[in-house]
Amino acid sequence: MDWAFASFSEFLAMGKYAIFVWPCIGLTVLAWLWLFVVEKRAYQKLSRAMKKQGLSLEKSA
Amino acid sequence: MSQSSVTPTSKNSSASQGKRSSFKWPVWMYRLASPSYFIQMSSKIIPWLYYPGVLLFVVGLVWGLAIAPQDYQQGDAFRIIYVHVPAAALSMAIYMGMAFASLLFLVWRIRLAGVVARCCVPVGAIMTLIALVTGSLWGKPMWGTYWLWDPRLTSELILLFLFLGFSVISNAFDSEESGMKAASFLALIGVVNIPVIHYSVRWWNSLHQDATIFKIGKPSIDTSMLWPLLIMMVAFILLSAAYVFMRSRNQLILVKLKQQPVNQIITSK
Repeated sequence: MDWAFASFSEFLAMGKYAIFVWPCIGLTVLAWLWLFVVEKRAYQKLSRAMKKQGLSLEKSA
Repeated sequence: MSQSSVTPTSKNSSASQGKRSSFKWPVWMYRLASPSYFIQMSSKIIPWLYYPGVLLFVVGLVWGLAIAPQDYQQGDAFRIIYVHVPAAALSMAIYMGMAFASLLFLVWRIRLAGVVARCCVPVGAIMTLIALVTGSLWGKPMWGTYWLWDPRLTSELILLFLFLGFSVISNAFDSEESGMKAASFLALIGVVNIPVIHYSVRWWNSLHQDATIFKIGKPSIDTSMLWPLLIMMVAFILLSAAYVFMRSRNQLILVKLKQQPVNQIITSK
């Protein structure tokens, strides 16, 4: 399997399309991170609240 | 209305009554509709969706960006395909999932289906937004413009408004159930837009290219470019499913906590 670019700087430049390609990749990665971080934090908060009330996921089920 | 129209016919026809009584939903379906079972089950399923999803996302992205060969016409700009196509396909798939859950909520009054439908909105709207923005950024070097009122682009924009409309309507009523009923109707009506998005490039004279993968016959893309795309598609599917499970679980836990006598902990934060 060969790399598509001869050097790392060429890879970063994406031919001449870096200004179009990297924002697309960045936006997608950030969007996924944002979605999961928000839910993960909410879950941690809810888990703490459940513990304070003496509930557990196993018991609630 | 629908109940009163069904009851007389079922009384008159003993055959239909026999059929009705003999039909039973599988037990796992009843269990699946139980919020408590869903919370427990989702905690087991989420890691199996999330970690393979992240792994495939990284593999697909590295393969697509650094290993797949250049396109002979579009050069390296074609690499936007690895986020644009999965996001666009998922936006439609998530909408269909949301509409199906809405149907379950409307017909069988399954509250869990209502929760799942609402939890599809953030990820569906984000996927639609990614498809629109990445399409726009791809359009500038290839078409010479960021936006035009092309049938494919316009129908995808309508999809974003449908997701946002569902969210607004479901929260617009004092009663959660009334809000979900109205939003579910919107979701079902909006299903009309899905074939429009898919077939718009064939029905109308569109600047957007025809289907590359989801078409009858061989995909019109070289296998060296196709594999990373398929990996990214699977990654997006797994991550979307993981997200819907995570959010639904959180919503159901929140409901459970609110049912408890001491619920100041959440509301105060």
